[in-house]
Amino acid sequence: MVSGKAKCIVPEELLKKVLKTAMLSGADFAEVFVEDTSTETLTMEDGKIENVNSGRDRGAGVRVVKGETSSYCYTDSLEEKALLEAARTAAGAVSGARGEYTIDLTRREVPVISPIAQYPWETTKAVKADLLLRADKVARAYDPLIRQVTGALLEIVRNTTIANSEGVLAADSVIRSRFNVGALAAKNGVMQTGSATIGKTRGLEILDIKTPEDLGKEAARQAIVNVHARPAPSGPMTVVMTNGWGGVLFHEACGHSLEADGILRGSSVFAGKIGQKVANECVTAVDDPTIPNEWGSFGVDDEGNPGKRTVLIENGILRSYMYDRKNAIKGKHEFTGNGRRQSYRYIAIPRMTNTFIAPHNSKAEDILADTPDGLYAKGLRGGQVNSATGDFVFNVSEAYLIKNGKLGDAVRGATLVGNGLTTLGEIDAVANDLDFGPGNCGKGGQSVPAACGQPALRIRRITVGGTQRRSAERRG
Amino acid sequence: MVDLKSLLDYASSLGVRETELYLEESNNWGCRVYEGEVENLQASQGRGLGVRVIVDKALGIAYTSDVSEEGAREALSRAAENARISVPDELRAFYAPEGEYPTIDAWSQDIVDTPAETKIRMALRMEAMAKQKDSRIRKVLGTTVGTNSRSVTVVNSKGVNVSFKSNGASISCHVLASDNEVMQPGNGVQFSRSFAALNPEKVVDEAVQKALSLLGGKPVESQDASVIFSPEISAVIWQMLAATLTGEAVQKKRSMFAGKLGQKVASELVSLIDDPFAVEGHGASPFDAEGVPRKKMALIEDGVLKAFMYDCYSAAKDGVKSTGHASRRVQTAVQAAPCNLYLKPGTLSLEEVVATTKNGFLVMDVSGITVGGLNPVSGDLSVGAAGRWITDGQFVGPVREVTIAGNLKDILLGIDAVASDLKWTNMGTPSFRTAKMAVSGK
Repeated sequence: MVSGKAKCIVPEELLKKVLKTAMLSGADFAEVFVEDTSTETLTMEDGKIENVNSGRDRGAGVRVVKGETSSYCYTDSLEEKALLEAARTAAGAVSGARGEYTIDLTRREVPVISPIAQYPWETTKAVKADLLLRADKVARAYDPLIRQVTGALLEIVRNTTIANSEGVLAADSVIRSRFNVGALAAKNGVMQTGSATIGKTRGLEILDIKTPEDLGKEAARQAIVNVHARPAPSGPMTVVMTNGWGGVLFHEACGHSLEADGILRGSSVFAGKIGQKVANECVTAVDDPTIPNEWGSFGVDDEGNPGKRTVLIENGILRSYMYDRKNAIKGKHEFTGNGRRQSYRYIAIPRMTNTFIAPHNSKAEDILADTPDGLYAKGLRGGQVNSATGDFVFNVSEAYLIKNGKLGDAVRGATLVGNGLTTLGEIDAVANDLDFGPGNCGKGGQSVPAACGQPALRIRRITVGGTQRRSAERRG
Repeated sequence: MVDLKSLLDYASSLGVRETELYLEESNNWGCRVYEGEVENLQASQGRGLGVRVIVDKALGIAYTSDVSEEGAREALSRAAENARISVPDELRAFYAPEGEYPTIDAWSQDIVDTPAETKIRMALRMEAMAKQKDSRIRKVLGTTVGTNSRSVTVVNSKGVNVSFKSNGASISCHVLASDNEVMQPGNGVQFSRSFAALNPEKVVDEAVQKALSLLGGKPVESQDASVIFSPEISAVIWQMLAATLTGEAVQKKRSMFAGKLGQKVASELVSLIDDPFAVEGHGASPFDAEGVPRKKMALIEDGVLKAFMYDCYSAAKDGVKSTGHASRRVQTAVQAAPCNLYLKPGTLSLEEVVATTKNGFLVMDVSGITVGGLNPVSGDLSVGAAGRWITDGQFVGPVREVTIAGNLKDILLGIDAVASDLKWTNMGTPSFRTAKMAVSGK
C-alpha cells in the first residue's frame, strides 16, 4: 500500500532559495510549483498494438504576485541554476522595493485520498497490451457490422510539490488509469460509433470494476444501436437522462459558470446570485476532490491548498462558487481547493474536480414510467458552454424516444442545446443512483482530468437538435 | 543539452537499428491586461524531445522534457523497451533523405526585438479603445499580446538532419456587451508574422462588432434554411474534415471519403489546398515531423477529391510515397495531418453573399463541434449556433440558443457561395454558404 506521504521532488532548502529569489523585487507573494509526471500510453487499432509511448514531464513554474499583476515563468529543468533563473525572470517582471525575506516552510499533512491496489509499474506492458486485445476480440465478435475497434490504456503518475512565500509546503502524488474502447459499425454506407470508458485515480484495478470484455461489448453495442437508429427529432422535448457521465450536462451548463474567475469579472450568469433560488428543490450540486479514487480526486490542489467538498447548490439555492487562490483573495472567500493546472507550464486557474448532482428521492425507473413522451439520453459525449450567456450544447451518444413511459426507437445524432440557468430550473426529478464518468475538461487552453456525475434525472423541456422535423415526424 | 548526433550513436551502440529524434524549442512571451493593469505576464523557454525507434521492425516511442544527456538516454531506452510490445511490420522505416527542401522564411526580427514595454502598452491601448467603442460594451474581459518563437529539429539515423525556426505575434481582445439583463461576449484575434503588421484597432473592432451584433439573440422557429459560416467557424469545419482526408483514416475505415478519389465530393466552388509556403498561416514549414520535404498540394480541387495525405508508414501501406504530412507534438505519436490549409476564396464579398440570401442564418459562433458535434466518420454535424438571421438579403436580428444540423456530404455538395473574405486563423478560410441545413429553435 501507499506510504501515506508523497516525497518532495526538490529539497526544501532549494525551494526556500527559489522563493527568496522570487520575492527579491518586493513581491507580495511567490510560489513554486514542481512537477514530475510519467505517462504511459498503449493504443490499439486494427487488432494490433499501434503505439506504445512513455513520457516524462518534469519541471517547475514560479509565480510572483505584486498588486494586481501575476508574473509566471517555467523551466523544463529542476537544476538549481534553472530554478533560480526562472525565479529571477518572474521577479524581474514586477517592480517594487527590493527586500530581504525570510521564508519558513511548514510541511502540510496531505491525506491519501486514493489508495492504489495495483501500481502501473507492477504489471508488464505485454500484459497490458493483452488487455486491449481482449477488448478488441469481444467487440469484433459482437456483430458482423463492426468494422473497426480502437482501444487505449492511459496511466499517469503525477507527483507535485508546491511551496509558497506564506510558508506552505505540500507534496502530493496522484495515479490515474483510464481504459477506453471505441467501435465503428457500418451498414449501407452509414458509419456510426460507440465507446466505453473507465477512468479512476486507481491502478489497473479499474478493470475489476469493468473488465476489458465489458468495455469492448459496451462500445460495440452502442455502435450497433446507432447504426440501426433513425435520425433524431428536433425541437423542444422532455429529456430523461441516465446516471453517470450525463453529469457533463451540469458541468457544462452550470459548473463552468460557477468558477470564480468568471464570477469576479462579472461575466457569469450566476454572479451576484448567492442565496438565491436557481433550481428546483430536488437539485443539490457538489464539487468534491476528496471522493476516494474518483477520476478528479487529489490531496491538495495545484496551489497546495487541501481539496474539499464544496456544496455549490443546496436544494435549489446557490451556495458557493469554486475558487483558486487569486480569486478567493479578491472575492474575500476561503480557499476551496479548486486551483488547478494542466502542468508546470501553466498558471493555476479555478477548475472543477469531481462535480455532480447529488442523489435525491426518485427512482430511475419511476422517472421514465412517469414520462409520457420525450427523449431518453442513455449516453452523452462532451459539451461546451458560453459562460457569459450560459448557452450550452452537448451531444447525445445513445438515445431513444420515450412513448407512454416506455423506451421506443433508437435515434442518433441528437444534440441538447439550452441555457444553464433555464435548464437548471427545468430539472424536475432526480433519482438516487449517483454514478460518475471520467473526462478531460478544457479551459483557457489547459486540459485537466475532471469527473462528471449524476443520478438519473429529468429535464422537463430542452431543445433537441436533430435533423428530423418533429411535426413532419408526427405526420409520418 | 544533449548532442543529437551523439545520441544517435548511443542508440546504435544499444543495437537500435533506426532512430529518429524530434526536438522542439520554444520561447514564449505573453501579457494579459485587465482593468488597466497587467494581470498576467509569462515568459518561458520550453524544450522537449520526442524519440522514435524501430527495433526488429517494431516501433517504440518516448518523450521527455528533460533534454540533458541523462534524460535523453532514459527516453531512448524506454522507446526501445516499448518497441518490444508493438507489433512488428516490414513496412516500418524512417525517412531516407532524397530531393531538396523548400526555402521558407517565417522569421521576423522585429518580433524578437520588440521590447516587453511596447507589447504591454499595446495591450493597455487595446483595452482603452474597446472601452470607448460603445456604451453597451460594459466590460473588457481581457486583451492579450503574445510573441512566440519556435524551432523544430528532426534528425534520424538514415541521414535526415534538418532544422527550421519560425516566429509570430498574436493579439486578442475579449469584450462583454450587455443590454439590461442579457450579456454577450465577443472576441477578436490576429496572428501575424511581423509585429509591425499587427492591427490592434481592427481586432478591437472585430470583438466589439461581434458582441454587439449578437447581443439580445433569440431562438428562431425550427426550419430549414441556408447557412453562411463566418471564416472562424468555417476554419473549424474544414480542419475537422481534413483530418479524414488521410491515408491512415482510409486504411482504418474511418473516413467518409474512402474510395472517393477523383470523384465529386463538394460543390465546384470548393478548392481545399495545403500550402507550406503560405507564411500567413501558423503551419508554414519546409519539412514534416519525419523530416520529409513539404509541397503545395490540392486536397479538393473544384469540388473533386484529388489526394489523401500520408506520413511514411501509411504511405508504405498503400505503396506510395509520403506526401510530407507527418504531424506530431513532442508528446504524441506521428500521424498524417494538414500543415497549412486554406480554402480558396471566391469573388463575392460577404455583403454580396448576404444580399443574395433569401432565408438564411449567418453563423458566427458554434459550440460543441470538437466535443462530438461533428462526427468525422459519419459526417453528421449537429452543433449549437449563434449568429444573425437574414431575410430577403437583410439582417433581421441576432439568433442564439439554436442548433444547426446536417450531414457534411450534403453541406459540401450544397455550397452555393464562397466569399472573398479569406482570413487566417488556425487555417485560411473565407465565409461560405450552403443551401440547406436544419435549424432547431423554438
